[in-house]
Amino acid sequence: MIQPVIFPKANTGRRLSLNSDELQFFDVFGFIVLKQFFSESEVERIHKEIEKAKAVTFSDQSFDPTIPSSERLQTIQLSSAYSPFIFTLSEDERAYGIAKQIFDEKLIGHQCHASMFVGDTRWHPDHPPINPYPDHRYGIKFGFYTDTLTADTGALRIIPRSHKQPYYGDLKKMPGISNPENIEAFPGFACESNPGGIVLFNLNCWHASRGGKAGRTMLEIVYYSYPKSTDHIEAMQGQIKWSKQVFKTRTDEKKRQTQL
Amino acid sequence: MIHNITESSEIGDVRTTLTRTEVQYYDTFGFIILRNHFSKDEMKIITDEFNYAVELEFKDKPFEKDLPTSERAQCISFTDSTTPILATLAEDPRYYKIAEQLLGGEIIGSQGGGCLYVGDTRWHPDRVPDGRYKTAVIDKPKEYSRYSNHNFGCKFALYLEAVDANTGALRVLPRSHQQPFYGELRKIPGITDAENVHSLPGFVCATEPGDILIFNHSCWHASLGGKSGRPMISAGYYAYPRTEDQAQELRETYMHGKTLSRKYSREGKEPESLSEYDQNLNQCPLRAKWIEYKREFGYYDYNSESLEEELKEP
Repeated sequence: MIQPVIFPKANTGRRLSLNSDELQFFDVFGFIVLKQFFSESEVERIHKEIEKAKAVTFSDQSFDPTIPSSERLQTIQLSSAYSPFIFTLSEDERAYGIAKQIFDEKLIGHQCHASMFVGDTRWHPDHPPINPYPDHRYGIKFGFYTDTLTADTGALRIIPRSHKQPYYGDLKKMPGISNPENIEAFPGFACESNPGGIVLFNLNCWHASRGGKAGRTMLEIVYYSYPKSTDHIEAMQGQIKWSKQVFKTRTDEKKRQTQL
Repeated sequence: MIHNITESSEIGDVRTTLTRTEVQYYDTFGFIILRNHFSKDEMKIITDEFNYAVELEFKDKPFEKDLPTSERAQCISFTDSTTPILATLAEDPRYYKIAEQLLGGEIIGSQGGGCLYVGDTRWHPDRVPDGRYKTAVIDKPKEYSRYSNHNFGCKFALYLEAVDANTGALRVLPRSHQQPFYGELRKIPGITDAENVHSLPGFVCATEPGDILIFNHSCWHASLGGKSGRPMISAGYYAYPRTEDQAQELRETYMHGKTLSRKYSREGKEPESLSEYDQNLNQCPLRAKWIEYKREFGYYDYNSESLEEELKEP
């Protein structure tokens, strides 16, 4: 029975791992939705902390609902001072436990990030162009939202199975796949979610979103597989370089806008 | 630019080929929706003919709205004499030429069929599971080796009413026509259970009358929430076998088709319309060729009664 994998009938409480059916689902499709991953009290705490963090982040320069995230991502600054629960979520034994289970090896966890999204997000994988991880286990992301999201209000859309080759590469060859107007043209699955639920997906998985309101808040925790070969190290270095470049571009843009 | 792919042609546009990008889309995902493949006027004719066929079919024994299709399919027969458009749909160049293009050459078509569906349809591909028959080539699982480009065959589906996620639209698992995905799905616990249609991340192929959906026979598909008696018209094509393994699979498929036809028909035998189709009264050359191909691959070698002998014990 796989029904509980996506549609659990009740809160399963604290979970430190996936069951074998869930692991199989994640491996076959590249993602899984876990509802009520966080308890109601935790959802409330996350909400309070994120509101504080938004107040701090946008105290000098207000959040701009007109700038698409594709041009500039408006990240929320998290801190152990005013968002201690969120700040340490990557060390939470639930997320970390599942990450360890999936990689079954050493891994590298990253600090939880939060952003306020504006506009649609075109199809893309969270992975540098070169993929030297033949076993498709480069990294994973736990994504969760502070609002209820549906297919037409910004829920994450995933192309199931797209984390594996040659599908992953075939999608890169599809004309126009990265064009923002083509989000509807590809057969994605909308991971509709409520606060407290998470979408766990392989970083290779192609994903997108459409129709969300300006300022929808997404939090994410990322784990990378510890590199085991020269190829892996190069891929990781590429990822770091790419991340820094994106950060620099967006920071420069922010500075430029401040100066204006 | 691909964003036109599922928005497709203008109403009434007669298309007998797909663009290169559309073929790429079909090869990548295992299905494609062609919008407005038939004009509104054509749909009126098709619907009228279908309704007439329904009238004939259920004249003596009424349609049973509470009988799930999973227990017995309530099929509609098309004949050259009573429903000439529907009986020759598979021979329409808007169908068979696209099938030739997608299957990469010579094809074998068969008579189109109609059905009034009742209830949900569980996840399944339109291929016979390995080892179903005594004659199966079990040392070479067909899913792995017989069709290098995964093009065993394809189906054209035409819904006469608008269908969406909650009203019986076909759900497909994109890319599931290709290995190893196809085979991995078979191993998922409960995948073919009726209550698990919700549980897999299928893409809902919502369609309006006039749209057609083409999908690879290997593509896993299902449906959910349709009203009792929702009408669907389909036509299937197989790639002409090029190897003995492929020929073997086609033989098994014909055998399986006849088994199902007998099992699910109301009379426990094949519909008489099939024999009328094979008479090819209008002497259509295309149909004549396909009949010969079917003969070549054993379609006429099996009668319903002898099939039980060929079935493996469960």
